[in-house]
Amino acid sequence: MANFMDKVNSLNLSRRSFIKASTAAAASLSLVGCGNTLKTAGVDKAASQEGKWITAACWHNCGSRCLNKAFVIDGVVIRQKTDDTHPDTPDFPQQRGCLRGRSQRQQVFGADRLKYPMRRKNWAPGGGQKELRGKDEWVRISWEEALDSIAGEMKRIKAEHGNRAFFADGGAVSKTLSLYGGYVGNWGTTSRGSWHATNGPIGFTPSAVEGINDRLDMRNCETVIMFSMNPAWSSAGNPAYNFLQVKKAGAEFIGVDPYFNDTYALLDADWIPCRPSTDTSLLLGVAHTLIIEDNPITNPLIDWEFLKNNTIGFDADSMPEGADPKENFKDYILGTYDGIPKNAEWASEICGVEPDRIRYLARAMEKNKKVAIIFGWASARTQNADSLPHMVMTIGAMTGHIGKSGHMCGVSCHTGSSNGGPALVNAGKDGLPSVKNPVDDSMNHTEMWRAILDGKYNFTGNMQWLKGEMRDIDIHMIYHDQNARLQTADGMTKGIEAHRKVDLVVSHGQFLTTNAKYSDFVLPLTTEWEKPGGFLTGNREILIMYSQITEPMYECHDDEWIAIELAKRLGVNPVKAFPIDAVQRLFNQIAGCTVVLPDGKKKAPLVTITEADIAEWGTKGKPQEGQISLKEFQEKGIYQVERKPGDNYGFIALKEFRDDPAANPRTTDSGRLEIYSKALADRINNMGYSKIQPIPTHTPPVEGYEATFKDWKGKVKGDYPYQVINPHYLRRSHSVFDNVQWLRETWPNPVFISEKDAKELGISDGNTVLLTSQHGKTLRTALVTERFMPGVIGLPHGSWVDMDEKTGIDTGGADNILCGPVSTGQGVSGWNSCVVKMEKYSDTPLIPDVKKPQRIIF
Amino acid sequence: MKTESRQDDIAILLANRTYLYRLLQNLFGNEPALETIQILNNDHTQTSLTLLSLEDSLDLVRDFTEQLEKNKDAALDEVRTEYTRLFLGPTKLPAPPWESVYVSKERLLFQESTLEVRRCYLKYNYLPARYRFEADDHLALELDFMYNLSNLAEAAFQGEDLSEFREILKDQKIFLAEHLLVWVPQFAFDLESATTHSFYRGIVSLLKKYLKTDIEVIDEMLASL
Repeated sequence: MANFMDKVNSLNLSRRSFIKASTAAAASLSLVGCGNTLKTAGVDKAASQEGKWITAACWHNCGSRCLNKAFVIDGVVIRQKTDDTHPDTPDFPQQRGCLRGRSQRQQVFGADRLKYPMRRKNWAPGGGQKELRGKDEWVRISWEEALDSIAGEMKRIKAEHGNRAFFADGGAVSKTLSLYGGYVGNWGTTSRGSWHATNGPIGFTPSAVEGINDRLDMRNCETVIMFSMNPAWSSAGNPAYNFLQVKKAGAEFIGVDPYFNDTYALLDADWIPCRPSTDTSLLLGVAHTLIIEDNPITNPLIDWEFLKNNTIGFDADSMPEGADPKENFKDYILGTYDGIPKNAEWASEICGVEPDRIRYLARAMEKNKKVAIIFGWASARTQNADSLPHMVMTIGAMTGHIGKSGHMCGVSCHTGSSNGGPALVNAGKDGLPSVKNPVDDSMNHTEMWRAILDGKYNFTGNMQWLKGEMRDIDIHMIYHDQNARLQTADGMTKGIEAHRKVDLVVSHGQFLTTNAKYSDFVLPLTTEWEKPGGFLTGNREILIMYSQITEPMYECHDDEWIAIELAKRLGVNPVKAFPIDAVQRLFNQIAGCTVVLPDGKKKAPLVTITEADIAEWGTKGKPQEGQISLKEFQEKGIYQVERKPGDNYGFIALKEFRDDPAANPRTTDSGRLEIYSKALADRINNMGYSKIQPIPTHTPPVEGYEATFKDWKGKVKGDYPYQVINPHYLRRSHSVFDNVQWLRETWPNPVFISEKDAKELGISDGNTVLLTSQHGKTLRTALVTERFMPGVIGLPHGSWVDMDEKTGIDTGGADNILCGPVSTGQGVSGWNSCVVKMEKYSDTPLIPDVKKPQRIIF
Repeated sequence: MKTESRQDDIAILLANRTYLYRLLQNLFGNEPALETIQILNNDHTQTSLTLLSLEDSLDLVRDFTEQLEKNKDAALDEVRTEYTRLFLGPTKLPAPPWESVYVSKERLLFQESTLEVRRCYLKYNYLPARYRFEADDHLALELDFMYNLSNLAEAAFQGEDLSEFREILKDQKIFLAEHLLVWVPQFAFDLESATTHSFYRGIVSLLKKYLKTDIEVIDEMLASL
């Protein structure tokens, strides 16, 4: 044993003076800094060590809605579970979470959460060294300093350049900016692609809620034909399970897609490989087969009665007044006037599906079979895809798979995947007023970064599809209060440049996201687990009410608190935007919940609220009678309408319209589905990006299959010979969760390359591959597979950019580094139309994302 | 005479521990300040470390102090930026200074192990100043706990409450063995791999050595009673 006492003795120290000196030194240290210290615990702080299950939010834009619960002891989550509120059956299934929801605490309690307001080290009023955004060092600052600096810059920018110099996302701070005179907004077609602006003018249904029949009715189908959909990844939770019930009930599945995904594998679907952004041409070929092979007596493929009663524009006889009868759809397909029949061979050259398989697909849609023709949004997230929903409607109308039990045609995607129909249970309104933005400017996602750099853009309203109007714009501030725009909008390379141009960039964030990384100020944000609670809906049969799990981490605040603090400093009254607090808002939503009663028609209040509840919540409200007590609802965390075959909750999309179109017209001029739609053509053509016809035709995307050739007729490949698609990936919900270690470990995020292409380029599994588009370069580790059709590369959507500033190559596999800011048609963000060059970069794999060290910049 | 001298020796060792825990708590719990660095380099600290034969452990820090003397503003700015990068973020932390990260092998805060640390604090009626908002097992909070218990041990010793004194020392030893010494070696390794800054390499090396030494100090004091 060491002998410290002897050492003390040998040093001849005086007890008194040493103790005095030690105490004095310790005291002077306490004066210098008091961070990270303990306090004496009060009696009330002796918190209970007993745990309890609390319903926890799983709030992401993942296409699913599931029940998530956390076992919490004194603010610490010990474990999580999912729905066990009732036994699980196919008709009345539990709402079980996926691997992302079950990793939720990895996100909330991640050691790398943003904890304090941070400022870029070389920031100065006016921006300082703006080119250092994304590579600068950081300084921790107080909230006071952060808010004062930001508000100070906002005042200066407004004084010098006016409100049109502010660019913001539309979240809580945008409300403050609206009160302060307004800001320039932004809009895009995001996940839905051309399923935004096309459906309305043609009279088709916009989404899964109205577009397809409910899940129990789908079990009546004999054939389900899926286009570009993968609910097993994109709508985790129950949709894939619902489709499995359809399979078990006897339906056959066909999957049309460049990628044989997990959903098709689950359902043993007959895979028809089809090139990205060519679905319209494929369906034109299908229409040709239907027309030439149909015989009402011997081979009835087409539902002539439906075409006659419910549509216009199919043939010369059904054209609207004022239109040239020669411009009808049928004659276009047959090539009557242009000499080009849009037959299976014609389609095959574009879409890559063998002509026989196109004819097989057409025959599978015959009118007398019970068929579902259903689409994910992916194929419409392509440039020049404005005619695709129009073509889908046309095929549905021709085959008559609309408006009958076991027949449906439309979108089956996101939270409505596999299960159409309006919500059976709904949350109430929170009671917050909306705040009008006095500035009407709004920039389309495909051109906003270019506009910030170049100073002009095409104004078409904020998703109003107005006639285009070129406007000058001079943005000096980018404020990210809500979205992951820099990461998730098209053309990130330009986006980074734009972020380095303006005077001020601010981001709210829970982590150093891509937005935050390229900002001057980063403000730490709470997650839903740190807020009083809220509601989640999606799946029509359920409503989830979640509660607070833990206190806000470190110095995190919510968006609204930041918005209010900025408003005070800008001299505007925040009460105009936020007159009621979060608890009252939650209470309002509870009181306003409704449920459809078993008759399938009447809506009634959902929650029983007593005087005692109101007193306990400390809110304003009135007692009411409902179907479930507030306590039970909060404790269970979910209200689920129990479904049974033969109940009154079924839904057949467009049934009333089919049965009696005169009494139930669509919103078109004719009241019918318009296969010839002047309204659609006018809308798209007026916007000023690119042109379409009044009937659905194939318009080659700017970066589609045709663009992989330098000589299309001679079939000579060009500089960018491969097509890239961005499948939604189970590691993430868009960009959220990407930094969660469990998920990084399970889902390594490779690039998917077809066996044939890999062989030709000498690429093997585990090689590092460089993808180069006209817009940027990215690296990923190769996964060689037969599940992708040759010529098509799969780069999963949403991986966080990790730019190597020396080489200009992204090592993070970010889709938007490759995808360019290309504006077409209705302003579609056309991620699934992108062409690239591919080469082997190294024989060894990249460092796996899960093991990536911190990048040391200096 | 011998007894009295032993009493004095123990009193000096006790005061020394209190001081060194406060010093380490301050170094890891706060952005570096000029005053702290001056205190770290003063004669008292030198004596304090010599007492434990740890006088060489500040060699690296002295390299930094020389830089500081040459260009105070630049050197301070650099060490503060390094503190931010190592312990605050917003970039990925190379060595997150929380016990749960090392015990659970996950990069997570507020874990079951955090509750165990909280229970240790509560036995002495302590909680983090920002209880429930900040994780209890931050290195500097654990060091503050050791500082506070060292203070209590000193008081018990001066008040001649030997059973209380023994109890506190035993609890400190347990806390060292079951908490700080379980994770600080790996934390120190990760930190040393992530920084070339002589100040942080210096103080983390002092931390490692000191925690091990303190176990020996506690053992010697307990054995002598």
